[in-house]
Amino acid sequence: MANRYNAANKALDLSKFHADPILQDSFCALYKPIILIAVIEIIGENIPELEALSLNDNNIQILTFLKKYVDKLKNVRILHLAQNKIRDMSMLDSLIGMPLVELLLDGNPLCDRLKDKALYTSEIRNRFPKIMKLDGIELPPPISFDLAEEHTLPPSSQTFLCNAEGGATVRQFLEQYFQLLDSDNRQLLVQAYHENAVFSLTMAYPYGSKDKTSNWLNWYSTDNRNLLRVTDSDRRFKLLKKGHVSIVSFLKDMPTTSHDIMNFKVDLTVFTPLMLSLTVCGMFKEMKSGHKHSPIRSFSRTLIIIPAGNGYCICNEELHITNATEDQIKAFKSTPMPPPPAVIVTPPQVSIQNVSVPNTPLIPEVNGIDDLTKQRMVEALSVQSGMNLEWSTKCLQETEWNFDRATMVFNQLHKQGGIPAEAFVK
Amino acid sequence: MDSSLKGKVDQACRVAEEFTKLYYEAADKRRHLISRLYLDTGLLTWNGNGVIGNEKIQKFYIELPPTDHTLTTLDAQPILDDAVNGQLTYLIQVSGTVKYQERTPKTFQQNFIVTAEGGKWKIVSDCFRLQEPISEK
Repeated sequence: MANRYNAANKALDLSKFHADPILQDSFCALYKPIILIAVIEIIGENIPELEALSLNDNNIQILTFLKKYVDKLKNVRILHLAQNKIRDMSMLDSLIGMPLVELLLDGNPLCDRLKDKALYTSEIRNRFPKIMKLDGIELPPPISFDLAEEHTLPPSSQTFLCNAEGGATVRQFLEQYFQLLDSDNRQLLVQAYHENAVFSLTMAYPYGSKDKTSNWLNWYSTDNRNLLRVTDSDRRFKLLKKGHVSIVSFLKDMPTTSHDIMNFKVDLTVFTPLMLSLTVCGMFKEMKSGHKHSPIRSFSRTLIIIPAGNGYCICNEELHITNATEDQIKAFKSTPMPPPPAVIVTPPQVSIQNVSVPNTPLIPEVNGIDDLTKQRMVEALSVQSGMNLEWSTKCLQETEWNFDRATMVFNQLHKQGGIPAEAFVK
Repeated sequence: MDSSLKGKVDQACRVAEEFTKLYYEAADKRRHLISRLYLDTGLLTWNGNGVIGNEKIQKFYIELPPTDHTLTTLDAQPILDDAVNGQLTYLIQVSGTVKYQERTPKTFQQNFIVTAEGGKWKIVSDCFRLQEPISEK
């Protein structure tokens, strides 16, 4: 198919496909649904940006089966279907949703049946309101009402902080929490929860997922506290995990994970001296859960966090787990893996002896280092390592402002080529 | 102690059921009334965009394309007294699909902090996220 694609115009010409000399050995007729679906799957995989598609002269009669595949052609504005065998206008219903501005249909039986040009045009426009060119003829712009204006969705942003001062706290909390969650020792998370904390889980499959068979969410369904389904009040109460011990024992049973912390979407919606409310959405890879390929899940966690000692602990948590959508998986895979944060191996100041003590703050105190000292450390590290100030700061933050550890970690990562070039741009 | 918690949990679930019904009906069909569901100082974060104050939230909602929400899951808990000074407050989390105009549905997750004020349940914070990657732009 590659030789029929014109990348400059984002156009793919599949006219008279069955007569292609390259494909003479196999009979690839596009009027066969299975072949056309395969072709569209290939388009969706390889050239989702496709804008023009010609299927002229392919003996195509039936299109109804395409309904499910239209979203793979969501950028196609120009569609040529001339000289085929489409008999009825209703065949085009399955293509509704394509943003067509140009359509070729002449040479199909349906054109002979609809002699009234005005009616023909209106039938087409009912299905594709933006059509400007039909069978090679420019159409007058459609007349519309002012009320039916096009709304567009506001653009999204990755992080919202109701209070800028909360940013550092949130970042540190999340880094530590997810390091422990992804580690082999989730027991340590007991320190992250209030002794009377409550936790619940819901799960669902995302809209339109067709891979239900391969990525079952079975593990999560037993504890799914979906109030739309669970109506019995005893059961609702029972499904709530109460107290840090039972929460952590549940977390320990959950499949092991590897979270994509760089792409988290974070919303800090309450930040007062009394409490924080934090929502984290993102993806994780589920490890060792018996699936052939590690499934990529999408989650949303809502956390109510309160200060405890000189750190913080979670007192309410609602976790929602679902499968990542195809778009999400694509984004997941295109993110370069960040160099492993140096602190992962030994979470500082969290030692097993502390486990039995509830409410031990998760965030360790920064050992009374003032800003001026920090600045000097950053400068010193920058001189020694050659990294710019931003990356030197990052490195020191991640090693809890321990200068010796910071230089050691830098040397180690640098040797492995784990530090990106941008770190050295001054 | 457990029995009083059970009562609270029970009530949280029932309020969540009633609240979400009213909320999504207002969001889909009666946006000109949606400000009444929020505290005057309520907060909406919509895909990372913050809107503060019930009047501004209503305006934001009115400018969104028409929506049609369908819920898939619902969960609710009473927030621990330590966090809210004993004021009755619930944490509600929802997932479902939303259709903007006639387009194909998108999956979303949303959560609310709802508190009792003057005999009415009001939203303190409302956090909405579509389940999709952030576009490059």
